[in-house]
Amino acid sequence: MNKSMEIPENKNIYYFNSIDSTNQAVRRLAEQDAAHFSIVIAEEQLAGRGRLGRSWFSPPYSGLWFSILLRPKLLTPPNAAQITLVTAVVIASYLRDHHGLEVKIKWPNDLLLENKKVGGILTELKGKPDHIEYLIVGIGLNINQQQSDFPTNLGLQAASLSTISGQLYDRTELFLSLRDDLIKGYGLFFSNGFNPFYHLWKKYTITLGKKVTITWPGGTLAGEALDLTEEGALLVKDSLGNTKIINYGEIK
Amino acid sequence: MVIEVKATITGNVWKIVKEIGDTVDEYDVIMILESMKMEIPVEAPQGGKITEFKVKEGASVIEEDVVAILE
Repeated sequence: MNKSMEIPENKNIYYFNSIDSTNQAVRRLAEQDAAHFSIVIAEEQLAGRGRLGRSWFSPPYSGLWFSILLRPKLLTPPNAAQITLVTAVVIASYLRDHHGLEVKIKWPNDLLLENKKVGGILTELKGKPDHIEYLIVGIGLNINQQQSDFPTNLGLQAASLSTISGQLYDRTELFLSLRDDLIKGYGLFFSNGFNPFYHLWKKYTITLGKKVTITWPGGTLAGEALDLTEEGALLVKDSLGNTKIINYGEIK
Repeated sequence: MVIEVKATITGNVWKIVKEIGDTVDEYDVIMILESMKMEIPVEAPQGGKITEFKVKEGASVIEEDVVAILE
């Protein structure tokens, strides 16, 4: 299990044994004009970050922690947030098709196995209202951790592919295959939009049809998650019967 | 000269990282928006002094909304 990955030399893959955060490393590369599809991958993140500044538990030699730099030419900022849903669909499809794992998606992009979180995605955008300079997609996937490896505060909610399937995985092979699928998926998204991913997202999600409570820094909304809009937002019917479009927030 | 700072995307104001009266350079991050788990820094389009915020943390915005004023 405590084995380093063997990443082939590739000018667009930057491999580190240990790093602050792969998203931060990609941002530094982006500011130095690194190319579209450049990837930073690390065995360990010392300041791995989840959404909104939360820490992401990313110990060495056990998971996949990597970030991808994207410089889409035609995509505009209003549609950019769909990249998080696209990423979730590509990863879920890969793990279902190649490893037989029934990965589910919690809106917008938490990856779950047996209702426990095995993966997360953190995306960042730099641009102006009409122009994207670059996107960063950060991916954390728990692969070979055992249940006792997780901190006690995460233990009940977190899992790895290994804790669910009982197998150990070749992380190098998994990363390289997943990278190929992500590059193909992003190519399709940049040329055809979110539509090719829309029905798969709905097929994989656990969110639709459920009672949900969504919280964000300025409020909360309880209701039933009815559907996903074609833009990727969640349609929620509140207790008064009003349907709201939700673009942000955390589902409890 | 009044400079409008606009939201890049429809979302929620997660964090305002500057204060009224702060002097900023072009590209300095003024606030961070969030939409569908994407974080979107809103940068100063030019250098100046922040004279007003049009939104508070937690507020909803849509793209092109004016979120702050620089002079």
